[in-house]
Amino acid sequence: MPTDDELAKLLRRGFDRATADLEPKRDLVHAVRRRYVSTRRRRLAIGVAVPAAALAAGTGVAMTGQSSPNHHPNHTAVAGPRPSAPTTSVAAPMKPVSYKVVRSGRHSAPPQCPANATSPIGKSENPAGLWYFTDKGTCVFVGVGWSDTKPANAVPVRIKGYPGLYGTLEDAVRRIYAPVAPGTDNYHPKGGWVVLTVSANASQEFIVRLIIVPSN
Amino acid sequence: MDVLGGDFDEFVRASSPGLLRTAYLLTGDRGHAEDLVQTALLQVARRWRRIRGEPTPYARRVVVNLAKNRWRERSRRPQESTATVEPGPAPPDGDVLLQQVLLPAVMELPTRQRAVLVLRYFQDLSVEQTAAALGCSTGTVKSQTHHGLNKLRKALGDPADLKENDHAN
Repeated sequence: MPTDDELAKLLRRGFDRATADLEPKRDLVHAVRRRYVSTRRRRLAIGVAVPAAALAAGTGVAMTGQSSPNHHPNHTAVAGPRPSAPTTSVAAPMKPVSYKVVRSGRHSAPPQCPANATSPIGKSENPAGLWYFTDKGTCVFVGVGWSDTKPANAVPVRIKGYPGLYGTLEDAVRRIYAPVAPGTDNYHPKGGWVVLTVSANASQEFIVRLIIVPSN
Repeated sequence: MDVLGGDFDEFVRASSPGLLRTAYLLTGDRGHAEDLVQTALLQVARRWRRIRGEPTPYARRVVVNLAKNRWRERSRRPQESTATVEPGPAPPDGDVLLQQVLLPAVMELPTRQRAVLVLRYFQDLSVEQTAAALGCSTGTVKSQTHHGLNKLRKALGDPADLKENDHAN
């Protein structure tokens, strides 16, 4: 019987000869690149959008910032409009999704939370329009604002299931930018970015998952 | 902005022949092998920024995993014929044993044994590299190699023919 070495030698020769005439297609590089660009566009299109119109109408997360009206939202969880694309430096959307604000069934805040904060989502009266979140007995202060553009130094924030997010970290303050597609928000018809502002030591994934959730 | 860069193109050009041949030996089908390699390279592209330092092991592992997926799909459709290496041009006399006995016998091996033999004796991977590519232990690679070679040994039959042909080449 042939030894292992003899068989291995024979296998090598057999494999080489069986595949000798195999060559990749000449346009393989371009084909891969085309598919990559196509899938990348699709993935970016599944952009995160906050139900901005509903929020601006006072039924969801309060929006503060340069273009948000001053209003007093209540605590109702809402499903947002279907966004289609981020507006700055991100590819145009192809498959819009919508998100809704989540709220837990708990209603009592930990002692160190502001008196007017409910758990895990609460509203701060002062400053108005900002929200408190509690997680396992702690309060996390989160500002929810708006920006027409995201900063040039924002870097992608990678959270599974939440594509298209960007973030900055400056002076111990973390800002997370979530795209809102044009035409999905009555107050911001050109689209823009919802800005979540938290302290640097807060879990951005926790905050994002707590505030914006894909609804489809 | 080109997030992949020119080095990705270079990697595709350099690695695709080897990946294609490996995929062909794993699947036994030229068309499936081409599809599989393109899909594998797409996955490499998606992770390019993270793996660009050493993309080959990742690409190899993706090819193997895609081939495994195909084997699983085929196993759910038993009416399909099993993979065979497509007949090439008429072989020289000394290659008859290779083309008509050895390679079909390889294709008849259980999928993991076939993968182990292809990775070790075509890609010339070490036991450790093969284990990494297959996502199994080195002990499994060794045992699968042993069992695979034993089956091929039985399929080849008369050792005199083997050695005669071997020396003829």
